[in-house]
Amino acid sequence: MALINYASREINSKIVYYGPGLGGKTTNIKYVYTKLNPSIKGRLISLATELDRTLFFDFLPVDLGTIRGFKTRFHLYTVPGQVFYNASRKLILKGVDGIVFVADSQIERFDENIESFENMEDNLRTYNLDMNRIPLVIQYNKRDLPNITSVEELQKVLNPENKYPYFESVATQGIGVFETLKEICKLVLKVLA
Amino acid sequence: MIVECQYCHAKYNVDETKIPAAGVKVRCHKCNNIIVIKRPAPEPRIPETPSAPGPGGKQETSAPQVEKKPAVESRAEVSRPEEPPEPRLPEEPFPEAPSEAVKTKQTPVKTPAEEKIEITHGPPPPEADSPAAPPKPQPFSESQMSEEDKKWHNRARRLAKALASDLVLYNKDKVERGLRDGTIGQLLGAEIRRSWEYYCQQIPRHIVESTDYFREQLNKIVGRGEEIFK
Repeated sequence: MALINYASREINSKIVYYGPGLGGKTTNIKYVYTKLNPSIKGRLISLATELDRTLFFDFLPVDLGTIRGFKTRFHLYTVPGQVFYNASRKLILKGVDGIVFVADSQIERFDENIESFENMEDNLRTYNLDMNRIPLVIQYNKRDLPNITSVEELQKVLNPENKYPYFESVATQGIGVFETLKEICKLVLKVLA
Repeated sequence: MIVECQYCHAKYNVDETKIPAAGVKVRCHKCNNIIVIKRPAPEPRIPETPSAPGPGGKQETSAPQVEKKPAVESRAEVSRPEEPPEPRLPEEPFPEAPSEAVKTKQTPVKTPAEEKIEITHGPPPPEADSPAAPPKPQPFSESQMSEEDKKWHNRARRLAKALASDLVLYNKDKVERGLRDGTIGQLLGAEIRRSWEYYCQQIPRHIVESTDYFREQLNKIVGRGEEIFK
């Protein structure tokens, strides 16, 4: 649910990077942060608790134009991926406007992707958010590694109806990172407009 | 009864009448080792010691429902009542081995010092030890399951695997060290406990009770195929 700031004439949208542990969520968000022009981004904040951590920052794209005179500021969050930190994940999903699901392509993490995706569906359901309506982009990360599942196989389990746009990525090299971000921003704006 | 930690040999005085029929796992205060405490068998080898008759001895005649306990495991020794008992006692059950004892939620067991051994999770104690009780859950057959149950079994398997994989991914050093030195319980106890709690929260109780997915995956992934979690 986007928040509108009338004083600054900004719409604030929340994008959450979701996915299994050590799948590349933080790498995505850090890469985006390093590449953005300092004049349009806020500080990168790390909310660390015990072992898990959440990264957060916001930015105001300059080239997206306005919606009825309002600019859109995007707030990017990562969730802790480790399975049992669900309370944090659920909390971070509150008020989400768009989700990037970062799947780990490695064969041994196949089941963990499914678990994380189902967990995301469960958590969204608790906020009465409909998986058919929430803007969602899937990113198949770590495509440079040798032991990976094919995109077709991953699509079969995570995106069988091809409802969500998806990208292949190598987040450590920035491949596919901005493509994913642009797509989710586009989908969020479509809902807002 | 006196319970001794097999690793550091700390001794604890435990009121055996408070031990649930299914037994209980507790953590040694000194070294964090897990001690399995079983209620002494009614026709036991243990009461041979003249000084240890206790309520366990009486039950032989007066409490027929307490029986058929598996013999006291080697990890839990009931020993030498003449030894002065340690004043402190283990505080928590070990979460990593979802045996019936851990799966059970039971009324607190108190030592003479009135401290609690509390089971924090899982379903109530199975009555399977009683002769009149129903048999333990039989291994399920896929064909007899409803679609809903099949879905939950798959989810339970996946979740158990994901939890175990995370344990390894996020604790590589500890896993290596624990496997090498045999201290995995001490090093990963808290993490395993959280994983088990989460597993119990997410998976319907009847599936948690009737399957062993969590332990299987721990042994397969954390133990690398060795049955280190019993």
